[in-house]
Amino acid sequence: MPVLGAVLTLSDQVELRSAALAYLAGEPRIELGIAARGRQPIVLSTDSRAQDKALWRSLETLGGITHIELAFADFSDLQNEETPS
Amino acid sequence: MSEEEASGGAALQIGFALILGVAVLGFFVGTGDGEDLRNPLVTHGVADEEVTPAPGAMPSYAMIRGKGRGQDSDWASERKALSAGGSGEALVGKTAALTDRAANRAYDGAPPTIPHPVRQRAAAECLACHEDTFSVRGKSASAMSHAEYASCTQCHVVSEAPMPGAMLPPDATFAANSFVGMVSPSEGERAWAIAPPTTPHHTSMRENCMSCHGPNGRDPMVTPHPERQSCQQCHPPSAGMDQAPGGAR
Amino acid sequence: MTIDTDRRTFLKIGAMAAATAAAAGTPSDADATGLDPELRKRMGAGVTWDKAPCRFCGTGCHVQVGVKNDKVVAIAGDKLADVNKGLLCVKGYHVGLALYGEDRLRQPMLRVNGELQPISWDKALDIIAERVELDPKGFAYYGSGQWTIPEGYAAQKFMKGGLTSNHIDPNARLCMASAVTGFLAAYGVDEPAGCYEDLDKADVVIMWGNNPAEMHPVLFSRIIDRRSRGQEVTLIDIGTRRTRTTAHCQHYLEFKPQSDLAIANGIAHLLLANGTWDKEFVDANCSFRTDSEPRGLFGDAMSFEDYKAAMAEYTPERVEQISGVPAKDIRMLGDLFGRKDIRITSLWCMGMNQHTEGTAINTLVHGIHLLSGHFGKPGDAPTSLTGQPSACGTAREVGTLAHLLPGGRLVAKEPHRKDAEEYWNLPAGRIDGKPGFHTLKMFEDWCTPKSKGGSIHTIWVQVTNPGQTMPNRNKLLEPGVKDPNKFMIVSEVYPTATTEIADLVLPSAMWVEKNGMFGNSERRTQQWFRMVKPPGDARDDCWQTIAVAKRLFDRGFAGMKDKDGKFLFHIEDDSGKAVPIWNWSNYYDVNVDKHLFEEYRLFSRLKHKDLAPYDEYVKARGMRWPVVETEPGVWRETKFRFSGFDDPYVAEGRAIDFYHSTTGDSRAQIWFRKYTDPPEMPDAEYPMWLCTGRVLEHWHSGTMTRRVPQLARAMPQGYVELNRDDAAELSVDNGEVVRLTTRRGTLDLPVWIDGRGAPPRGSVFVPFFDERLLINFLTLDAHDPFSKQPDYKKCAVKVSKLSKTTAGR
Repeated sequence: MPVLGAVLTLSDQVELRSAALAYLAGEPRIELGIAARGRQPIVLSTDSRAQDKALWRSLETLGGITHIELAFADFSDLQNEETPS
Repeated sequence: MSEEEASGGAALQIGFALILGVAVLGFFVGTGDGEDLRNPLVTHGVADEEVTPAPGAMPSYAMIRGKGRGQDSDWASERKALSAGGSGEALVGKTAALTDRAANRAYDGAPPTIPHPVRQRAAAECLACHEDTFSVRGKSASAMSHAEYASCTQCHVVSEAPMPGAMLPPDATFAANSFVGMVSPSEGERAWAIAPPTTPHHTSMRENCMSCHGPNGRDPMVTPHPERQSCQQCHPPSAGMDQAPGGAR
Repeated sequence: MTIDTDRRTFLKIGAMAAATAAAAGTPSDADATGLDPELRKRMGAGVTWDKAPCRFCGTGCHVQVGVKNDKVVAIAGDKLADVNKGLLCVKGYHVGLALYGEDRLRQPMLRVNGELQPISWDKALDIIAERVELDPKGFAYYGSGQWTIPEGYAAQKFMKGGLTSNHIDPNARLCMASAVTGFLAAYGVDEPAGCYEDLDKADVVIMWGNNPAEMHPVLFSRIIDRRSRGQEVTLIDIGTRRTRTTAHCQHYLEFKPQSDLAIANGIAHLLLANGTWDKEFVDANCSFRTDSEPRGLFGDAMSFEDYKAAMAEYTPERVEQISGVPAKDIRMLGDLFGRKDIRITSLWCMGMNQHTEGTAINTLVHGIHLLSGHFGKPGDAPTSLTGQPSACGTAREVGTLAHLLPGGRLVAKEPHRKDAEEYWNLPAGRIDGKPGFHTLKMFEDWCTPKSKGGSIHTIWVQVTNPGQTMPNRNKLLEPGVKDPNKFMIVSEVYPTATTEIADLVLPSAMWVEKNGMFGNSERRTQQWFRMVKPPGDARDDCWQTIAVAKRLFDRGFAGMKDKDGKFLFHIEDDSGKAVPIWNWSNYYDVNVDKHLFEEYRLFSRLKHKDLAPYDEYVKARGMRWPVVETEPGVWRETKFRFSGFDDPYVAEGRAIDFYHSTTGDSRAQIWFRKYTDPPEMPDAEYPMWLCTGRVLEHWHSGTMTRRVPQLARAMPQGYVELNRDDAAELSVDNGEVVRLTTRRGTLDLPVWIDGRGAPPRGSVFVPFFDERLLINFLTLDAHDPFSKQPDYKKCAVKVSKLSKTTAGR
């Protein structure tokens, strides 16, 4: 199961920002860390590579998130994984 | 040619062909893999072509790239210690560097005072060390940050009294000055998270960026990309103080 | 596929740690958490920038002043300024700090029983009014080449138009007076014809006893930086000691003090002997002049033959004998001046002006430029450099001298007095036709008790420090200080050697704490606006004069009324309503500077020193007069005066026109004046020469610069430069304290061998910036007969070894 640590840069428009945070808070596979200066650390913890990719893509397309950077990735617990489509 | 020799030769030829074939195959296999290295925004670990090795097997280069930066137990504990500390290493260093710089400058943009004795009537000796950067035993003589002027000591004076002899006791009120000089922000503004920062200081007398930001500069100010020579192409100066039209009167 | 939960948790912790660290550690905007909060407050955001000329020397560089929260926080060179093009010197870079010495004067103070006690401004104004009323003819005003133009103009009008007194003189009397008389004797009108562009074009630049590397650094850089661009410039240092300037020169001609007169004559001699003088130029534009009997400023006409005969004596060998400069070097100078294919600029400052024959040497150097035709083309110029930021703009042009009126007029001339009475709307006869006391006389008289004929009872000092800068202080200051009937009012910004002896101290606003205008060395008038408020209850010098005038007006002093009974400084706003500018809280309701300047401008036409409207100077980084309106609203400055290609007042068809010629025929005067010994020379008892002067780091008496840490640390203390061999002979080590004695005083100073300057054997040099080591107790007050400027550069001293190690008196 991929575990990713990422840093999100959130939009400075209030509505978009709150919507994004609401989504993140509601998503069980995402854990929110303590924001520093408008930058939000999160952990994505999914069951498969495919899920992980799908979740990442959803963040990329979310309006209130202007940028995502990866800080940490661990795939060491994935075994006999198929090449993702 | 004997029959034995002929068959041996044929085997050899087949062997060569096989080796050649494998080599060619290997060549294509080797060059065919790997993610697109030219796209810097592709962060490691989310490339499409990522595969994981079987447990215990050696990962291919493609796999290593695609794997992302995992951590071992040492690194994990280091990271925890760092994050427990609060601010990152880099910032502490930057404050120290800026404070050190400010020690011999009345304000950001002032000509620094000379921290070593100089010959009082010398003409061009300064350039011996300050034309380009000159480093010895951890101390650096920074390169002039501005174009060459012939009279260095017109703007740069020594930090300590140049004349010999016992000084009169300093006047109690003299040289006590409440001026507080401007400092530039420690970082430039970025349009978005990893955009190149604007130059947070005016560039008058600081046209040579490498003087402070080059390889011999103070540690956190050193540019991570010294190979790029045209600084202002990405790091524009601040119009407010560079007397751009509409800026200063 | 499931995973071990513990491991997963562990990974998630690690992931969060990494992400958090990355979030905190990667800069994303200008807010720098983790930076010292004090440091963060001082960041460049919120700083506003505006232009101003530098507070210091006569170069007149423009600076950009960075202001935040009503404080100056930074300085930068003004890139748009023609004078300095973005470059400054160390004083200019630190000029902002000059405002913030912690002992700024904030409150008026009156000396009671020997101690200065705070009093109100209201009381102070009354006290000054009382001193005027005591005897208006005994009230004197000592002003400054650091006065802004409006400040000087207000004082001028107050004294000459209000008190009917001509006892107003500036400290420029100690600095530029001989340059003025030199210009007048040669051209009939003051101030250089050329400008700084000459420095860009000259092939040869000659320094006549000055040290521009330290004293006009930005101008000197303008010359030597040409070499970095591949241009060849020959620099010649004619000096009495080696300085920083010498290091940049190809030739150093060491001369005995005063023998600059012989050197100049030596050049003239060679031009004539070699036939290389510019016959065409001289025939068209010059006449010859010599001293009359008795000597007068304008002398007598001289024929060319007589001129030639008089110069015959000054052969290179004879000049070598007098000056110590080798004959071959005199020939080199003669050859250079004889060439037509090069441009020569001569620069000088205090070496030639602080000279008992200052007028003479000034006219002689003008003379060799005129004789050789090295005049009037860019690069060919005899250029007197001014020391103070507005000795030209204020003292000389506004005429705050005992014998002048604004715009080059003389109190002694009735038509000139009539002009002033007209512009000032005064009743006829208000202005006194008799010149007042020049500076030395003013102080000498103040030091003389009334019973012995000393008529000056009060001197009001503004923006200068006579306590430190008057020569022969034991004679020209101490007696007055001790006399209880004498009174000194001092408008100052810091405690100085003068406030120490003052009876009334008035705290003043400084530089960008007030509106102002200066006029620099190249006829460039420059303007600035107030940017920060002065500390405590410090107020503009100009306001002080106007407030005193109003106090007198209110007390019925007739002189403060004009012809129609209106207050002399009556100012109306745009709607025609009178503004009570004598109330400090109303002073900036209008721009008083602008009103005064627009009135003063009227005076500037007579001598063709035309000034533009105030608002033009607001827009520009200064403009060089004469400024003429070529079309409505378009103002054009003049770079090269008297030259047909640029000066609009040159008569049609002429290449050169000296339209203020003393002989009324468009000709300048080439003077013959002979070499004479200085009044005091080394002898058996006082065997060495004493020279005084300045250093780069300190502006004049150091009251501002010694409070700037960077400058004070770089040059913390006075000293005496002693030649290495002289030191050996005296068994004196570097740093050892020695005693200097002249006929006038004694001072103990530490020795500096091969320091900033290197005097030759038999000569010492002492800088005058250190008020704790006041060299002017030792200097000579002998002065030039025409300019009345004293000679700080040469007197006789003896140097003796001491056993004690503390410097002082």
